[in-house]
Amino acid sequence: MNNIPAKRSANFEHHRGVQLSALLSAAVDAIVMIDQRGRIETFSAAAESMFGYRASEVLGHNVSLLMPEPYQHEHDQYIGSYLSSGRAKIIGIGREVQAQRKDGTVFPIDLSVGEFGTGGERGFVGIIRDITDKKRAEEKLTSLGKIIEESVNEIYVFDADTLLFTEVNRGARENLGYTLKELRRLTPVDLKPDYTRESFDRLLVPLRNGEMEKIVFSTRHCRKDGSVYPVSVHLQLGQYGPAPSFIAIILDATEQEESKKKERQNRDQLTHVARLSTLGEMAAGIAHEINQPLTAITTYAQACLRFIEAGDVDSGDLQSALRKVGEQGQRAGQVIQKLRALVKQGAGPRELFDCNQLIRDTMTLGDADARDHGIAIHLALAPGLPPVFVDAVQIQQVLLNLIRNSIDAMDAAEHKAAGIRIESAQPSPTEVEISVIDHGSGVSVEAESELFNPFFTTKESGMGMGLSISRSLVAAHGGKLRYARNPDGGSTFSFRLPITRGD
Amino acid sequence: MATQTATVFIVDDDEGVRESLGFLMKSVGLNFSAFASAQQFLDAYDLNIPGCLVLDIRMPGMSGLELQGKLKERQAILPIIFITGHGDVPMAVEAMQNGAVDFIQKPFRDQELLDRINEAMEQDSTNRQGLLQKHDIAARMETLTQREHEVMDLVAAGRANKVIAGDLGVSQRTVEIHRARVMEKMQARSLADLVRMVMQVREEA
Repeated sequence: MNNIPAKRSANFEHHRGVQLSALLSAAVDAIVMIDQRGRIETFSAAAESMFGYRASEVLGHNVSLLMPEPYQHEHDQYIGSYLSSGRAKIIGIGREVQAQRKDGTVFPIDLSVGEFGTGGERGFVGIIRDITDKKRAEEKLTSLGKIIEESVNEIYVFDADTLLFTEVNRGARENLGYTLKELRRLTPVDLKPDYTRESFDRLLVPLRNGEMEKIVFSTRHCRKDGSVYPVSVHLQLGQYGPAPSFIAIILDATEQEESKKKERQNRDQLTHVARLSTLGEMAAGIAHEINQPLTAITTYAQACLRFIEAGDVDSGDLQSALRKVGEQGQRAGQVIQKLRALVKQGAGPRELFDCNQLIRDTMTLGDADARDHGIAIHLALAPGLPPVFVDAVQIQQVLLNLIRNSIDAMDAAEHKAAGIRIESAQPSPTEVEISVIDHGSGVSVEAESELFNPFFTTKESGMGMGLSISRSLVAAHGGKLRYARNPDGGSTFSFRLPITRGD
Repeated sequence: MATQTATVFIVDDDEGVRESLGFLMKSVGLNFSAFASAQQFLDAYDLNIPGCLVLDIRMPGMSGLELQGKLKERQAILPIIFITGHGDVPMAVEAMQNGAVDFIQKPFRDQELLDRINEAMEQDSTNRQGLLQKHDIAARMETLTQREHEVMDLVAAGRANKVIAGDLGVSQRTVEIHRARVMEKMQARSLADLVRMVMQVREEA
C-alpha cells in the first residue's frame, strides 16, 4: 500500500509507514498520491472502493485513468503547466470535477490537491470526496425551486417577525402586478383588504404557538391596480431560510366562486319554477273554493225560480234560500280577499334585472307550453335596455300568463303558423315595455271592457283570474298592463315597467 | 222486497252546496236525503232503497271515489252522478270507468243536473227490476231436481233430446219428461224464454 522511498533511518521510516498506512486506510475520503509525472504512487482503501480498482491495478499508472474525457487527455498538460508557470488552478483550492470508475461510470467529486516535495522530486496528493448524493439533493432543490417559481398557484414566504415578504413566486407576482423588489417592502396585510395587522396577527397565533400545523382560510387579495380577487389561503409556519418564516400557498378562487355563483343561479331558477308551479296549484285550490259558493248560489237561485214558476211559493222557504244566496256571495268575496293576501305574501325581494333576461328565462317554461300546441314564440328584444327593479318571479308570472293566454287564443285560430311574438322596447326615457303579440282569436268588443275584471273569462275552463292578477302585479311595480287589438287580428298585451336610476 | 220511495241521496261536505241541492230537489218535488260525509251516508244507507246518488268527488276523509268503491263492494247498484270541480276531470274519468252514470261540473245548470238525476233514477228502476227478475228466476231454478237442472243446461246449450239422452244414458222419452217439467217449473213460455233465463242468471254468477 505504501511505496515511499526509504531515505530516512529504517526505524523512523517504519514508524512513519505505519502511521501513513493507518491514516490512508481510515480516511473516509479517497486519497491518491502521484509523482510529478502523474504516476500513481499511493491509492487508499477508500479510493479502491470509490473507483473500483484495486491499488495493485493502478499503482504506477497515470492518474488520468481516473478521469473521463477531456480531462484524461489534458491532465498531463495541467501538471506541466503548473510545474512551469507555478500558477495553481486547483492546488490548494479544491474544486468540483468529474471522475471515472473502473466500470466507466462518471461521478461528481470534490477534489482538493496538495503538493509535497523533497528536493527535486515533487508530488501531489489528491483528496477526493464522492459528491453524487450532495449533487442529487442540490439538483432536486433547484428543480423544486423551479417548480415553485413556475407554479400558477401563488406562493409567498414572509418573515415570521416582520411579516415582510422574502420570496414570492412568479404566479403571485404576475397576478398581483408587483415586482419581487416591491413585494419585499410589503406584508400580507397590504394585500388583504379585509385584514388589519391586528386581525392578521390574531389569525397567526395558533400557528405560532404550535396549536395548529396549518390554517386554511378564504379572503380577498388586492392587486397593484386596485382590483380585488377571491383567494383561498393555506398557511404554514416553518424554517425556510435563516429565520422562521410563514409560507402561504394561495389559490385564486375566482373560478371557484364563479362556478358557485352559477350553481346558485341555477338553484334560484329552479326555485322560480317551483314558485310558479305552486301558484298554479294554488289557483286550482282557489278555483275549487270559489266554485263551491258559486254552485250554491246558482242552485238556490234556480230552485227559487222553480218554486215561483210553479206558483207554489212558501215565502219562508224563499226567504231562507235568498239569505243563503247572500251568505254564499259573501263567502266567495272572502276567497278573493284571501287570494289578494296570498298574492301580496307571495312577493319576493326586488332586484335589478335585465328585462330581456327575464323574458328569456320565462321562455324555458313558456316555449315548452307553446311547442306542445304547435305554436312558435319569436323574440324581438331591444338590445341595451336599462335594468328594471322588480320581483322577477312576479314579472315572470305575468309574462307566463300572457303567453298562456296567447297560446289559448292561437290554439283554435287559423293563423297558428304566425306564432307569438314577444317584444321588449324602451318607449320613453323612463320606461321599458314588454309586449306579447298573438294572431289568435282576439277579444270581442263586448269582452274588452271586462277583460281585466276578476272572474271574467272567455275560456271554457278558465277561472278568469289571470289578467286580473297580472294587472295587479304590474301595478304593484308602478306599471300598467294594457290590451290592444292588432290591426291584422289577434291581441297585444303589453306592460311598462319604470326604469330605476342608478343611485 | 218492500216498495220504497225513490230517493236522491246527496253527499257533499260543503254545506252551501249540499243545502242548495236539497232545496233544488224540494223545488221539483223529489224525495232527497243529504249527508255531509261519505261515511255518514255509508252508515245510513239501505241497499234496498231505490234512487240515485249525487256525490261530490272531492271531499275530506273518504273521497267520492272511495265511497264508490265501498258501494261496489256491498254490491249496491245505486247509480252515481259525480259532481266535480274545475280540475277534477281525470278523477271524473276514473269514476266513469268504475261505473258512474255521469259527472257534472260545478257550477252547473239546474236542468242539466235534474235531467241526469231523472235518467239515473230510471236506470236504477230498470236495474232493480232486472235484479228482481233474476232473483225470481234463481228461486225457480232452486226448485229443479239435479237431473232436471242437467237437462235444462243441456237444452239451453242447444242439444237435441236424442243427444241429451245419449249423454245422460237415459231414454229419449225420459228426457222429454224432464224437459217438460223444467219448462213448467221455470215458467218458460218457449225454449227461447228458457235460454234467456239461464243466461240472465249466469250473467253475473
